Amino acid sequence: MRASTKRTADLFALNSLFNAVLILSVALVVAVLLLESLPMIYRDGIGPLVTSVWNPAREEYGFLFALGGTLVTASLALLLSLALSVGSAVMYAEFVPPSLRPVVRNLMDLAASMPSVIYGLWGLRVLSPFLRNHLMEPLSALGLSGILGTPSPAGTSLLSASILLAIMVTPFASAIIRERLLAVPQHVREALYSLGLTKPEVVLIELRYIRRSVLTAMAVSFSRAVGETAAVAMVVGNTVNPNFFRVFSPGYTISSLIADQYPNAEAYYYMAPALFYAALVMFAIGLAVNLALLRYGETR
Amino acid sequence: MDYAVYVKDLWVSIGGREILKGVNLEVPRNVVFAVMGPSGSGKSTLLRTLNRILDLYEGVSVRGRVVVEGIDVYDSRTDPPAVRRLVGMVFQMPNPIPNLSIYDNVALGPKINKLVRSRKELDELVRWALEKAYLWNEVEDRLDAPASKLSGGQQQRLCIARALAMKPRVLMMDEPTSNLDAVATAEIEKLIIELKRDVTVILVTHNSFQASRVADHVAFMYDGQILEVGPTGRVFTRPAHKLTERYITGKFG
Repeated sequence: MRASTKRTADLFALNSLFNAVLILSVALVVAVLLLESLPMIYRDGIGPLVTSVWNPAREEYGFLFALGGTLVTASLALLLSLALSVGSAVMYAEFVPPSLRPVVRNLMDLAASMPSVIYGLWGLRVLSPFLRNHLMEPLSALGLSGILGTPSPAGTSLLSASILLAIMVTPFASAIIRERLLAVPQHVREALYSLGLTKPEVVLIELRYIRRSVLTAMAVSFSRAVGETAAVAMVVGNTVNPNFFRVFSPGYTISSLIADQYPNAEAYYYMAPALFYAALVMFAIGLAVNLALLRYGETR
Repeated sequence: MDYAVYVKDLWVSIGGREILKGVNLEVPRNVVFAVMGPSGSGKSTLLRTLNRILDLYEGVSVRGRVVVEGIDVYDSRTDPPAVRRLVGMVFQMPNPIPNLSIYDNVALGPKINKLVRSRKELDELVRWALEKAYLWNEVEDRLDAPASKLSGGQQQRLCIARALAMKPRVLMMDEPTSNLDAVATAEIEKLIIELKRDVTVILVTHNSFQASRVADHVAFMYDGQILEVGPTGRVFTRPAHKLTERYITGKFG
Protein backbone atom coordinates (compact mmCIF):
# COMPACT_ATOMS: atom_id res chain seq x y z
CA MET A 1 0.00 0.00 0.00
CA ARG A 2 2.72 2.37 1.15
CA ALA A 3 4.95 1.33 -1.73
CA SER A 4 2.23 1.75 -4.36
CA THR A 5 1.37 5.24 -3.07
CA LYS A 6 5.02 6.12 -3.38
CA ARG A 7 5.16 4.69 -6.87
CA THR A 8 2.10 6.77 -7.87
CA ALA A 9 3.81 9.86 -6.47
CA ASP A 10 6.96 9.04 -8.43
CA LEU A 11 4.98 8.59 -11.63
CA PHE A 12 3.22 11.88 -11.00
CA ALA A 13 6.54 13.65 -10.50
CA LEU A 14 7.95 12.09 -13.67
CA ASN A 15 4.88 13.06 -15.63
CA SER A 16 5.04 16.64 -14.32
CA LEU A 17 8.70 16.76 -15.28
CA PHE A 18 7.99 15.67 -18.84
CA ASN A 19 5.22 18.22 -19.15
CA ALA A 20 7.44 20.95 -17.77
CA VAL A 21 10.19 20.05 -20.25
CA LEU A 22 7.64 20.08 -23.07
CA ILE A 23 6.22 23.49 -22.16
CA LEU A 24 9.70 24.87 -21.60
CA SER A 25 10.96 23.70 -24.98
CA VAL A 26 7.97 25.23 -26.81
CA ALA A 27 8.59 28.46 -24.92
CA LEU A 28 12.23 28.26 -25.90
CA VAL A 29 11.36 27.84 -29.59
CA VAL A 30 9.08 30.87 -29.47
CA ALA A 31 11.78 32.84 -27.65
CA VAL A 32 14.35 32.00 -30.35
CA LEU A 33 11.90 32.98 -33.13
CA LEU A 34 11.23 36.26 -31.36
CA LEU A 35 14.89 37.05 -30.60
CA GLU A 36 16.10 36.25 -34.11
CA SER A 37 13.39 38.34 -35.73
CA LEU A 38 13.85 41.35 -33.42
CA PRO A 39 16.22 43.28 -35.76
CA MET A 40 13.59 43.14 -38.51
CA ILE A 41 10.71 43.99 -36.19
CA TYR A 42 12.78 46.87 -34.80
CA ARG A 43 13.62 48.18 -38.28
CA ASP A 44 10.27 47.81 -40.11
CA GLY A 45 7.55 47.10 -37.50
CA ILE A 46 4.59 45.47 -39.19
CA GLY A 47 5.81 46.68 -42.59
CA PRO A 48 6.80 43.19 -43.85
CA LEU A 49 3.28 41.93 -43.10
CA VAL A 50 1.64 44.46 -45.42
CA THR A 51 4.07 44.81 -48.32
CA SER A 52 5.00 42.38 -51.09
CA VAL A 53 8.58 43.31 -51.96
CA TRP A 54 11.41 40.79 -51.85
CA ASN A 55 14.54 42.61 -52.87
CA PRO A 56 17.58 41.36 -50.93
CA ALA A 57 19.94 43.60 -52.94
CA ARG A 58 18.25 46.61 -51.31
CA GLU A 59 17.55 44.74 -48.03
CA GLU A 60 13.79 45.04 -48.61
CA TYR A 61 11.76 42.18 -47.23
CA GLY A 62 7.98 42.49 -47.35
CA PHE A 63 6.52 38.99 -47.17
CA LEU A 64 2.80 39.67 -47.55
CA PHE A 65 2.87 37.59 -50.76
CA ALA A 66 4.05 34.55 -48.77
CA LEU A 67 1.67 35.18 -45.89
CA GLY A 68 -1.17 35.46 -48.41
CA GLY A 69 0.04 32.34 -50.19
CA THR A 70 0.02 30.41 -46.92
CA LEU A 71 -3.48 31.60 -46.01
CA VAL A 72 -4.86 30.91 -49.48
CA THR A 73 -3.33 27.44 -49.86
CA ALA A 74 -4.14 26.36 -46.29
CA SER A 75 -7.75 27.61 -46.53
CA LEU A 76 -8.34 25.98 -49.90
CA ALA A 77 -6.76 22.78 -48.60
CA LEU A 78 -8.95 22.96 -45.51
CA LEU A 79 -12.15 23.25 -47.56
CA LEU A 80 -11.15 20.45 -49.92
CA SER A 81 -10.03 18.17 -47.13
CA LEU A 82 -13.26 18.84 -45.22
CA ALA A 83 -15.17 17.37 -48.15
CA LEU A 84 -12.66 14.57 -48.77
CA SER A 85 -12.23 13.52 -45.14
CA VAL A 86 -15.92 13.67 -44.18
CA GLY A 87 -16.75 11.81 -47.39
CA SER A 88 -14.17 9.10 -46.89
CA ALA A 89 -14.98 8.71 -43.18
CA VAL A 90 -18.69 8.29 -43.97
CA MET A 91 -17.87 5.78 -46.69
CA TYR A 92 -15.71 3.86 -44.25
CA ALA A 93 -18.11 3.84 -41.32
CA GLU A 94 -21.38 3.33 -43.20
CA PHE A 95 -20.68 1.61 -46.49
CA VAL A 96 -17.44 -0.39 -46.32
CA PRO A 97 -18.31 -3.91 -45.10
CA PRO A 98 -16.56 -4.66 -41.77
CA SER A 99 -14.58 -7.47 -43.37
CA LEU A 100 -12.90 -4.99 -45.75
CA ARG A 101 -12.28 -2.31 -43.12
CA PRO A 102 -8.76 -3.43 -42.08
CA VAL A 103 -7.59 -3.23 -45.71
CA VAL A 104 -9.00 0.26 -46.19
CA ARG A 105 -7.64 1.40 -42.84
CA ASN A 106 -4.14 0.14 -43.64
CA LEU A 107 -4.19 1.95 -46.97
CA MET A 108 -5.22 5.18 -45.26
CA ASP A 109 -2.50 4.77 -42.64
CA LEU A 110 0.02 4.16 -45.38
CA ALA A 111 -1.10 7.37 -47.09
CA ALA A 112 -0.68 9.22 -43.80
CA SER A 113 2.80 7.89 -43.16
CA MET A 114 4.23 8.55 -46.64
CA PRO A 115 7.14 11.05 -46.53
CA SER A 116 5.96 14.43 -47.78
CA VAL A 117 8.76 14.71 -50.30
CA ILE A 118 7.23 11.75 -52.14
CA TYR A 119 3.94 13.65 -52.32
CA GLY A 120 6.04 16.53 -53.66
CA LEU A 121 7.53 14.42 -56.46
CA TRP A 122 4.13 13.12 -57.40
CA GLY A 123 2.68 16.63 -57.25
CA LEU A 124 5.43 17.89 -59.52
CA ARG A 125 5.33 15.17 -62.15
CA VAL A 126 1.67 14.11 -62.13
CA LEU A 127 -0.68 16.49 -60.31
CA SER A 128 0.63 19.85 -61.55
CA PRO A 129 0.76 18.97 -65.27
CA PHE A 130 -2.63 17.29 -64.99
CA LEU A 131 -4.22 20.33 -63.36
CA ARG A 132 -2.58 22.59 -65.90
CA ASN A 133 -3.85 20.63 -68.91
CA HIS A 134 -7.30 19.71 -67.68
CA LEU A 135 -8.34 22.50 -65.35
CA MET A 136 -6.23 25.65 -65.45
CA GLU A 137 -5.61 25.95 -69.19
CA PRO A 138 -9.25 25.37 -70.22
CA LEU A 139 -10.52 27.83 -67.59
CA SER A 140 -7.88 30.40 -68.57
CA ALA A 141 -8.93 30.02 -72.19
CA LEU A 142 -12.45 30.93 -71.09
CA GLY A 143 -11.06 34.25 -69.93
CA LEU A 144 -10.70 33.48 -66.23
CA SER A 145 -6.96 34.15 -66.20
CA GLY A 146 -7.72 37.79 -65.39
CA ILE A 147 -9.16 36.65 -62.05
CA LEU A 148 -7.36 33.38 -61.35
CA GLY A 149 -3.97 34.03 -62.92
CA THR A 150 -1.92 32.43 -65.67
CA PRO A 151 -0.56 28.90 -65.26
CA SER A 152 3.17 28.27 -65.57
CA PRO A 153 4.48 25.76 -68.14
CA ALA A 154 4.97 23.10 -65.46
CA GLY A 155 1.64 23.79 -63.81
CA THR A 156 3.30 24.60 -60.50
CA SER A 157 0.92 26.96 -58.76
CA LEU A 158 -0.84 27.92 -55.54
CA LEU A 159 -3.76 25.75 -56.67
CA SER A 160 -1.55 22.68 -57.17
CA ALA A 161 -0.10 23.23 -53.72
CA SER A 162 -3.59 23.56 -52.20
CA ILE A 163 -4.84 20.36 -53.78
CA LEU A 164 -1.68 18.47 -52.85
CA LEU A 165 -2.02 19.70 -49.26
CA ALA A 166 -5.66 18.62 -49.17
CA ILE A 167 -4.66 15.12 -50.29
CA MET A 168 -1.85 15.01 -47.71
CA VAL A 169 -3.90 16.09 -44.68
CA THR A 170 -7.02 14.08 -45.51
CA PRO A 171 -5.81 10.73 -44.07
CA PHE A 172 -5.27 12.37 -40.67
CA ALA A 173 -8.56 14.28 -40.63
CA SER A 174 -10.44 11.28 -41.98
CA ALA A 175 -9.07 9.01 -39.24
CA ILE A 176 -10.29 11.37 -36.51
CA ILE A 177 -13.76 11.65 -38.04
CA ARG A 178 -14.18 7.95 -38.83
CA GLU A 179 -13.24 6.86 -35.31
CA ARG A 180 -15.85 9.21 -33.86
CA LEU A 181 -18.47 8.09 -36.39
CA LEU A 182 -17.86 4.48 -35.41
CA ALA A 183 -18.20 5.52 -31.76
CA VAL A 184 -21.70 6.98 -32.18
CA PRO A 185 -23.63 4.84 -29.67
CA GLN A 186 -25.65 2.04 -31.23
CA HIS A 187 -28.73 3.12 -29.23
CA VAL A 188 -28.61 6.60 -30.80
CA ARG A 189 -28.30 5.08 -34.27
CA GLU A 190 -31.21 2.70 -33.59
CA ALA A 191 -33.34 5.60 -32.36
CA LEU A 192 -32.74 7.46 -35.62
CA TYR A 193 -33.49 4.48 -37.84
CA SER A 194 -36.59 3.61 -35.84
CA LEU A 195 -38.06 6.99 -36.85
CA GLY A 196 -38.07 5.84 -40.45
CA LEU A 197 -35.04 7.90 -41.49
CA THR A 198 -33.02 6.78 -44.49
CA LYS A 199 -29.28 6.16 -44.31
CA PRO A 200 -28.25 9.58 -45.72
CA GLU A 201 -30.58 11.30 -43.25
CA VAL A 202 -29.12 9.33 -40.36
CA VAL A 203 -25.56 10.11 -41.50
CA LEU A 204 -26.29 13.85 -41.62
CA ILE A 205 -27.61 13.79 -38.06
CA GLU A 206 -24.64 11.72 -36.89
CA LEU A 207 -22.27 14.27 -38.43
CA ARG A 208 -24.07 17.01 -36.54
CA TYR A 209 -23.71 14.92 -33.41
CA ILE A 210 -19.92 14.63 -33.85
CA ARG A 211 -19.32 18.13 -35.23
CA ARG A 212 -16.83 18.95 -32.48
CA SER A 213 -14.61 16.15 -33.73
CA VAL A 214 -14.99 17.43 -37.28
CA LEU A 215 -13.73 20.81 -36.04
CA THR A 216 -10.82 19.16 -34.26
CA ALA A 217 -9.96 17.35 -37.47
CA MET A 218 -10.07 20.63 -39.37
CA ALA A 219 -7.80 22.31 -36.80
CA VAL A 220 -5.28 19.50 -37.26
CA SER A 221 -5.57 19.78 -41.04
CA PHE A 222 -5.05 23.52 -41.04
CA SER A 223 -1.97 23.36 -38.81
CA ARG A 224 -0.40 20.71 -40.97
CA ALA A 225 -1.26 22.62 -44.16
CA VAL A 226 0.24 25.85 -42.80
CA GLY A 227 3.44 24.14 -41.70
CA GLU A 228 3.95 21.67 -44.55
CA THR A 229 7.18 22.56 -46.36
CA ALA A 230 8.89 20.02 -48.58
CA ALA A 231 5.98 19.05 -50.81
CA VAL A 232 4.70 22.61 -51.09
CA ALA A 233 8.12 24.00 -51.94
CA MET A 234 8.22 21.56 -54.87
CA VAL A 235 4.84 22.42 -56.44
CA VAL A 236 4.02 25.99 -55.45
CA GLY A 237 6.38 27.53 -58.00
CA ASN A 238 8.48 29.66 -55.62
CA THR A 239 7.75 32.96 -57.29
CA VAL A 240 7.05 36.30 -55.65
CA ASN A 241 3.38 36.75 -56.49
CA PRO A 242 1.79 39.81 -54.90
CA ASN A 243 -1.58 38.70 -56.32
CA PHE A 244 -1.60 35.57 -54.19
CA PHE A 245 -5.35 35.08 -54.69
CA ARG A 246 -4.64 34.33 -58.38
CA VAL A 247 -4.26 30.65 -57.60
CA PHE A 248 -3.41 29.47 -61.15
CA SER A 249 -0.15 31.42 -60.91
CA PRO A 250 2.94 30.23 -59.11
CA GLY A 251 3.55 31.75 -55.69
CA TYR A 252 5.20 31.31 -52.33
CA THR A 253 4.03 30.19 -48.92
CA ILE A 254 5.89 31.20 -45.76
CA SER A 255 7.33 27.74 -45.28
CA SER A 256 8.42 27.41 -48.91
CA LEU A 257 9.89 30.93 -48.78
CA ILE A 258 11.99 29.97 -45.76
CA ALA A 259 13.11 26.69 -47.29
CA ASP A 260 13.91 28.34 -50.61
CA GLN A 261 15.60 31.54 -49.38
CA TYR A 262 17.33 30.66 -46.14
CA PRO A 263 20.42 29.15 -47.86
CA ASN A 264 21.12 32.69 -49.22
CA ALA A 265 20.44 34.46 -45.96
CA GLU A 266 24.04 34.56 -44.73
CA ALA A 267 24.94 36.92 -47.56
CA TYR A 268 22.59 39.64 -46.30
CA TYR A 269 22.06 41.53 -43.05
CA TYR A 270 18.31 41.42 -42.69
CA MET A 271 17.19 38.38 -44.64
CA ALA A 272 17.57 35.92 -41.76
CA PRO A 273 15.68 38.18 -39.31
CA ALA A 274 12.97 38.65 -41.97
CA LEU A 275 12.62 34.88 -42.43
CA PHE A 276 12.47 34.32 -38.65
CA TYR A 277 9.82 37.04 -38.49
CA ALA A 278 7.83 35.20 -41.16
CA ALA A 279 8.20 31.97 -39.21
CA LEU A 280 6.94 33.68 -36.06
CA VAL A 281 3.87 34.93 -37.94
CA MET A 282 3.22 31.45 -39.32
CA PHE A 283 3.44 29.98 -35.83
CA ALA A 284 0.99 32.59 -34.54
CA ILE A 285 -1.50 31.85 -37.34
CA GLY A 286 -1.43 28.12 -36.69
CA LEU A 287 -1.89 28.69 -32.96
CA ALA A 288 -4.70 31.22 -33.39
CA VAL A 289 -6.67 29.06 -35.82
CA ASN A 290 -6.26 26.03 -33.59
CA LEU A 291 -7.43 27.86 -30.50
CA ALA A 292 -10.36 29.42 -32.34
CA LEU A 293 -11.57 26.14 -33.85
CA LEU A 294 -11.12 24.21 -30.63
CA ARG A 295 -12.89 26.94 -28.66
CA TYR A 296 -15.75 26.96 -31.13
CA GLY A 297 -15.86 23.19 -30.93
CA GLU A 298 -16.06 23.22 -27.17
CA THR A 299 -18.82 25.77 -26.76
CA ARG A 300 -21.25 24.43 -29.36
CA MET B 1 -56.25 -12.10 -41.28
CA ASP B 2 -57.09 -8.73 -39.82
CA TYR B 3 -54.32 -8.29 -37.30
CA ALA B 4 -52.03 -5.42 -36.38
CA VAL B 5 -49.12 -7.84 -36.49
CA TYR B 6 -49.07 -11.31 -37.99
CA VAL B 7 -46.00 -13.54 -37.81
CA LYS B 8 -45.84 -16.95 -39.46
CA ASP B 9 -43.07 -19.51 -38.93
CA LEU B 10 -40.34 -16.94 -38.29
CA TRP B 11 -36.75 -18.15 -38.06
CA VAL B 12 -33.95 -15.70 -37.30
CA SER B 13 -30.27 -16.40 -36.91
CA ILE B 14 -27.54 -13.93 -36.02
CA GLY B 15 -23.96 -14.84 -36.80
CA GLY B 16 -24.99 -18.44 -37.49
CA ARG B 17 -26.80 -18.86 -34.15
CA GLU B 18 -30.53 -19.54 -34.23
CA ILE B 19 -32.31 -16.96 -32.07
CA LEU B 20 -35.92 -17.41 -33.18
CA LYS B 21 -37.05 -20.95 -34.00
CA GLY B 22 -40.39 -20.89 -35.74
CA VAL B 23 -42.34 -18.10 -34.06
CA ASN B 24 -46.04 -17.68 -34.80
CA LEU B 25 -47.89 -14.62 -33.55
CA GLU B 26 -51.19 -12.84 -34.08
CA VAL B 27 -51.65 -9.47 -32.41
CA PRO B 28 -55.12 -7.88 -32.59
CA ARG B 29 -55.50 -4.12 -32.96
CA ASN B 30 -55.68 -1.63 -30.07
CA VAL B 31 -54.57 -3.93 -27.31
CA VAL B 32 -51.54 -4.12 -25.08
CA PHE B 33 -49.79 -7.30 -26.09
CA ALA B 34 -47.01 -8.38 -23.74
CA VAL B 35 -44.21 -10.74 -24.69
CA MET B 36 -42.60 -12.07 -21.53
CA GLY B 37 -39.86 -14.55 -20.93
CA PRO B 38 -36.41 -14.98 -19.41
CA SER B 39 -33.47 -13.01 -20.83
CA GLY B 40 -31.99 -14.63 -23.90
CA SER B 41 -35.31 -16.11 -24.98
CA GLY B 42 -35.42 -13.96 -28.14
CA LYS B 43 -37.97 -11.30 -27.12
CA SER B 44 -35.90 -8.30 -28.20
CA THR B 45 -34.88 -9.99 -31.44
CA LEU B 46 -38.54 -10.67 -32.20
CA LEU B 47 -39.34 -6.96 -31.74
CA ARG B 48 -36.41 -5.88 -33.88
CA THR B 49 -37.62 -8.18 -36.63
CA LEU B 50 -40.99 -6.45 -36.86
CA ASN B 51 -39.58 -3.07 -37.97
CA ARG B 52 -36.40 -4.36 -39.61
CA ILE B 53 -34.12 -2.58 -37.15
CA LEU B 54 -32.43 -5.97 -37.19
CA ASP B 55 -31.08 -5.00 -40.63
CA LEU B 56 -28.52 -2.81 -38.80
CA TYR B 57 -26.79 -5.86 -37.37
CA GLU B 58 -24.19 -8.02 -39.07
CA GLY B 59 -24.79 -11.58 -40.19
CA VAL B 60 -28.57 -11.65 -39.77
CA SER B 61 -30.72 -14.06 -41.71
CA VAL B 62 -34.51 -14.04 -41.55
CA ARG B 63 -36.90 -16.69 -42.83
CA GLY B 64 -40.67 -16.63 -42.52
CA ARG B 65 -43.43 -14.11 -42.96
CA VAL B 66 -44.07 -10.90 -41.03
CA VAL B 67 -47.08 -8.73 -41.86
CA VAL B 68 -47.58 -5.42 -40.06
CA GLU B 69 -50.78 -3.49 -40.79
CA GLY B 70 -51.10 -5.23 -44.14
CA ILE B 71 -47.49 -4.64 -45.19
CA ASP B 72 -45.36 -7.68 -45.93
CA VAL B 73 -42.27 -6.56 -44.00
CA TYR B 74 -39.71 -8.85 -45.62
CA ASP B 75 -41.05 -8.60 -49.16
CA SER B 76 -38.23 -7.45 -51.46
CA ARG B 77 -40.35 -4.53 -52.64
CA THR B 78 -40.88 -3.24 -49.11
CA ASP B 79 -38.87 -0.18 -48.13
CA PRO B 80 -37.57 -0.63 -44.54
CA PRO B 81 -37.95 3.08 -43.61
CA ALA B 82 -41.61 2.88 -44.66
CA VAL B 83 -42.15 0.00 -42.21
CA ARG B 84 -40.39 1.91 -39.44
CA ARG B 85 -42.63 4.94 -39.95
CA LEU B 86 -45.60 2.66 -39.26
CA VAL B 87 -44.06 0.97 -36.24
CA GLY B 88 -42.79 3.20 -33.45
CA MET B 89 -40.15 1.86 -31.11
CA VAL B 90 -39.20 2.63 -27.51
CA PHE B 91 -35.97 1.13 -26.27
CA GLN B 92 -34.75 -0.40 -23.03
CA MET B 93 -32.35 2.43 -22.41
CA PRO B 94 -33.96 5.88 -22.73
CA ASN B 95 -32.21 7.16 -25.87
CA PRO B 96 -33.06 10.75 -26.71
CA ILE B 97 -30.63 12.23 -29.22
CA PRO B 98 -28.33 13.85 -26.64
CA ASN B 99 -27.35 17.00 -28.53
CA LEU B 100 -30.89 17.88 -29.61
CA SER B 101 -33.39 19.89 -27.56
CA ILE B 102 -36.56 18.40 -26.08
CA TYR B 103 -38.58 19.98 -28.88
CA ASP B 104 -36.22 18.81 -31.64
CA ASN B 105 -36.19 15.25 -30.36
CA VAL B 106 -39.95 15.04 -30.86
CA ALA B 107 -39.97 17.15 -34.04
CA LEU B 108 -37.13 15.28 -35.78
CA GLY B 109 -39.15 12.38 -37.24
CA PRO B 110 -42.16 14.35 -38.50
CA LYS B 111 -39.90 17.10 -39.87
CA ILE B 112 -37.56 14.87 -41.86
CA ASN B 113 -40.37 12.62 -43.05
CA LYS B 114 -42.37 15.72 -44.04
CA LEU B 115 -45.48 14.76 -42.09
CA VAL B 116 -46.28 18.43 -41.46
CA ARG B 117 -46.66 21.36 -43.80
CA SER B 118 -45.90 24.30 -41.53
CA ARG B 119 -44.06 25.28 -38.40
CA LYS B 120 -47.43 25.80 -36.70
CA GLU B 121 -48.54 22.28 -37.55
CA LEU B 122 -45.24 20.95 -36.23
CA ASP B 123 -45.63 22.90 -32.96
CA GLU B 124 -49.11 21.44 -32.54
CA LEU B 125 -47.91 17.91 -33.28
CA VAL B 126 -45.03 18.19 -30.79
CA ARG B 127 -47.41 19.49 -28.14
CA TRP B 128 -49.92 16.70 -28.89
CA ALA B 129 -47.23 14.02 -28.59
CA LEU B 130 -45.79 15.45 -25.38
CA GLU B 131 -49.29 15.66 -23.88
CA LYS B 132 -50.00 12.07 -24.88
CA ALA B 133 -46.80 11.04 -23.10
CA TYR B 134 -47.76 13.09 -20.01
CA LEU B 135 -44.62 15.15 -20.32
CA TRP B 136 -45.99 18.47 -21.60
CA ASN B 137 -46.66 20.02 -18.19
CA GLU B 138 -43.13 19.29 -17.05
CA VAL B 139 -41.33 20.67 -20.10
CA GLU B 140 -43.56 23.29 -21.75
CA ASP B 141 -41.43 26.15 -20.43
CA ARG B 142 -38.10 24.60 -21.43
CA LEU B 143 -38.65 22.99 -24.82
CA ASP B 144 -35.27 24.33 -25.97
CA ALA B 145 -33.33 22.67 -23.16
CA PRO B 146 -31.15 19.69 -24.13
CA ALA B 147 -32.96 16.37 -23.70
CA SER B 148 -30.05 15.09 -21.64
CA LYS B 149 -31.11 17.44 -18.80
CA LEU B 150 -34.28 15.39 -18.14
CA SER B 151 -34.54 12.63 -15.53
CA GLY B 152 -34.52 9.00 -16.64
CA GLY B 153 -38.30 8.65 -16.43
CA GLN B 154 -38.80 11.93 -18.28
CA GLN B 155 -36.33 10.85 -20.97
CA GLN B 156 -38.27 7.62 -21.49
CA ARG B 157 -41.56 9.55 -21.80
CA LEU B 158 -39.79 11.85 -24.26
CA CYS B 159 -38.85 8.79 -26.31
CA ILE B 160 -42.49 7.67 -26.22
CA ALA B 161 -43.53 11.16 -27.40
CA ARG B 162 -40.91 10.99 -30.14
CA ALA B 163 -42.35 7.68 -31.35
CA LEU B 164 -45.97 8.92 -31.08
CA ALA B 165 -45.22 12.07 -33.10
CA MET B 166 -44.78 9.81 -36.13
CA LYS B 167 -48.43 8.73 -35.64
CA PRO B 168 -47.49 5.04 -35.81
CA ARG B 169 -50.10 2.28 -35.97
CA VAL B 170 -48.04 -0.04 -33.76
CA LEU B 171 -45.84 0.95 -30.82
CA MET B 172 -43.17 -1.53 -29.75
CA MET B 173 -41.62 -1.16 -26.32
CA ASP B 174 -38.50 -3.12 -25.42
CA GLU B 175 -38.39 -3.39 -21.61
CA PRO B 176 -39.15 0.33 -21.34
CA THR B 177 -39.00 0.44 -17.54
CA SER B 178 -36.05 -1.80 -16.77
CA ASN B 179 -33.77 1.20 -16.21
CA LEU B 180 -36.29 3.24 -14.22
CA ASP B 181 -37.25 3.50 -10.54
CA ALA B 182 -40.62 2.39 -9.11
CA VAL B 183 -42.33 5.79 -9.41
CA ALA B 184 -41.27 6.33 -13.02
CA THR B 185 -42.23 2.73 -13.82
CA ALA B 186 -45.76 3.25 -12.46
CA GLU B 187 -46.13 6.38 -14.60
CA ILE B 188 -45.03 4.60 -17.76
CA GLU B 189 -47.31 1.63 -17.05
CA LYS B 190 -50.31 3.95 -16.64
CA LEU B 191 -49.36 5.59 -19.92
CA ILE B 192 -49.08 2.24 -21.73
CA ILE B 193 -52.67 1.35 -20.81
CA GLU B 194 -53.93 4.69 -22.14
CA LEU B 195 -51.97 4.41 -25.38
CA LYS B 196 -53.91 1.42 -26.68
CA ARG B 197 -56.78 3.72 -27.63
CA ASP B 198 -54.53 5.16 -30.35
CA VAL B 199 -52.09 2.39 -31.19
CA THR B 200 -51.44 -1.30 -30.78
CA VAL B 201 -48.82 -1.70 -28.08
CA ILE B 202 -46.39 -4.61 -28.11
CA LEU B 203 -44.54 -4.68 -24.83
CA VAL B 204 -41.50 -6.84 -24.24
CA THR B 205 -40.77 -7.43 -20.58
CA HIS B 206 -38.92 -9.92 -18.44
CA ASN B 207 -41.16 -8.90 -15.57
CA SER B 208 -44.27 -11.11 -15.47
CA PHE B 209 -45.92 -8.85 -12.88
CA GLN B 210 -45.67 -5.92 -15.26
CA ALA B 211 -47.25 -8.03 -18.00
CA SER B 212 -50.13 -8.96 -15.69
CA ARG B 213 -50.67 -5.30 -14.74
CA VAL B 214 -50.85 -3.76 -18.21
CA ALA B 215 -51.45 -6.39 -20.88
CA ASP B 216 -54.66 -7.65 -22.46
CA HIS B 217 -52.85 -10.57 -24.08
CA VAL B 218 -49.59 -12.19 -23.12
CA ALA B 219 -47.21 -14.51 -24.88
CA PHE B 220 -44.60 -16.52 -23.04
CA MET B 221 -41.34 -16.97 -24.90
CA TYR B 222 -38.70 -19.52 -24.12
CA ASP B 223 -35.60 -20.47 -26.11
CA GLY B 224 -36.68 -18.81 -29.35
CA GLN B 225 -40.21 -20.14 -29.34
CA ILE B 226 -43.57 -18.94 -28.10
CA LEU B 227 -44.70 -21.63 -25.68
CA GLU B 228 -48.02 -20.11 -24.79
CA VAL B 229 -50.21 -17.18 -25.79
CA GLY B 230 -53.64 -16.01 -24.66
CA PRO B 231 -55.70 -13.47 -22.73
CA THR B 232 -53.78 -12.26 -19.67
CA GLY B 233 -56.35 -13.47 -17.14
CA ARG B 234 -56.42 -16.99 -18.55
CA VAL B 235 -52.62 -17.36 -18.86
CA PHE B 236 -52.01 -16.13 -15.35
CA THR B 237 -54.76 -18.20 -13.70
CA ARG B 238 -54.62 -21.38 -15.78
CA PRO B 239 -51.26 -21.58 -17.57
CA ALA B 240 -51.26 -24.40 -20.08
CA HIS B 241 -47.54 -24.98 -20.02
CA LYS B 242 -45.50 -26.10 -17.04
CA LEU B 243 -42.71 -23.61 -17.81
CA THR B 244 -45.19 -20.73 -18.02
CA GLU B 245 -46.48 -21.60 -14.60
CA ARG B 246 -42.99 -21.74 -13.14
CA TYR B 247 -42.11 -18.44 -14.83
CA ILE B 248 -45.15 -16.46 -13.64
CA THR B 249 -44.82 -17.76 -10.10
CA GLY B 250 -41.26 -16.47 -10.05
CA LYS B 251 -39.52 -19.85 -9.92
CA PHE B 252 -37.11 -18.86 -12.72
CA GLY B 253 -36.40 -16.01 -15.12
